[in-house]
Amino acid sequence: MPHFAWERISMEQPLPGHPISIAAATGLGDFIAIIKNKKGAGDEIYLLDHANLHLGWQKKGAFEHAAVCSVQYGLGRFFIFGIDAKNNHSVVASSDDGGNTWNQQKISGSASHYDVAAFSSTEGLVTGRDGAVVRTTDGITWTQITSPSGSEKKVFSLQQSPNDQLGFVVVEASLKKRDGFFLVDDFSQQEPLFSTDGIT
Amino acid sequence: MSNSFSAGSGEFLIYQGKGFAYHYAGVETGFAYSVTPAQNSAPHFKATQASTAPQIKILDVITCPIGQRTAWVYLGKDLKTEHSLIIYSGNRSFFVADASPTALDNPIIAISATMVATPEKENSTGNALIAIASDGTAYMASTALSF
Repeated sequence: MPHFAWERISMEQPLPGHPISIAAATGLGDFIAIIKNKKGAGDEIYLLDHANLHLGWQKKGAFEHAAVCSVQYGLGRFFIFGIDAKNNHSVVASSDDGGNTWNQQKISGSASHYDVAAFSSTEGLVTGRDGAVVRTTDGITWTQITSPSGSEKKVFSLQQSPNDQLGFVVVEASLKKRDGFFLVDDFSQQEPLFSTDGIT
Repeated sequence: MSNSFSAGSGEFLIYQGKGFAYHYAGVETGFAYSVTPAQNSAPHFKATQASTAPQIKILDVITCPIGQRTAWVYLGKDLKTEHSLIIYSGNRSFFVADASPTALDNPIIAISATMVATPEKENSTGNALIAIASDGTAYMASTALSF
């Protein structure tokens, strides 16, 4: 059994509150945390750089004109998803330099709370609470695609295999009953993998 | 080849390459499973082993190089004590190890692996885990020399 000796990192700049969302850069160690702005302005973006942990959390701007739904990492980029309630659409900000600079753009379609993501080495999928799914292959352009689960079911968890033959793995659930696991090939068909009820 | 896929506060499948071995950790059930596809019938899967980690809610999972191996590291929460737990997984076994620094007022909400300089050897690096508590406090554990 491994033994890990944990030590608290002394920081010059602590995070000024509890984050509403946080994401880690896989394999890199950087973290992005989002702090709710209580004054009604854009939610604040903070970066913890793995190479300068002692500096602590550095503010990297604000998520302007929208409320943050989630922060994600994939395709070598951080992404912040949010909703522009005034104009009823979703927006995404991305950073390809570890969270130092951000570019924000509109996502086509109606507003959705995008907060469940899956990334392979070549593409990313993010789903909203209403079943909407957006996809990117370049980390820049996000395109809304048809949800495999239909609008009547909530996508509970979304995952992606790196093996192209296996396509996408979607865990879905209705609002009242778990439906188990489904493998989805290009969102054109669904194959049940197994039911959680059958594994004890 | 090994990859992990986390998906917010959902469940997790971990892909382990040519053998198509998967680990599954369920949030609601508190169990973790090892899952492999049935012979010559992918993509149909069957469960092959249940874990011994009940009463734990899985929050996140990452892969982390530990020495010459790649371990799956789960972030979990003990549903009885509400303490955060770091759970390490071998090939088909799961075990909870070293609750520190998780017996804190603020739970751990994010983990990641990174490369850090090793103080024991000059100009060398090793792997480390970084854990972030809900108040932004960060903790680090070196893994290269202790597994």
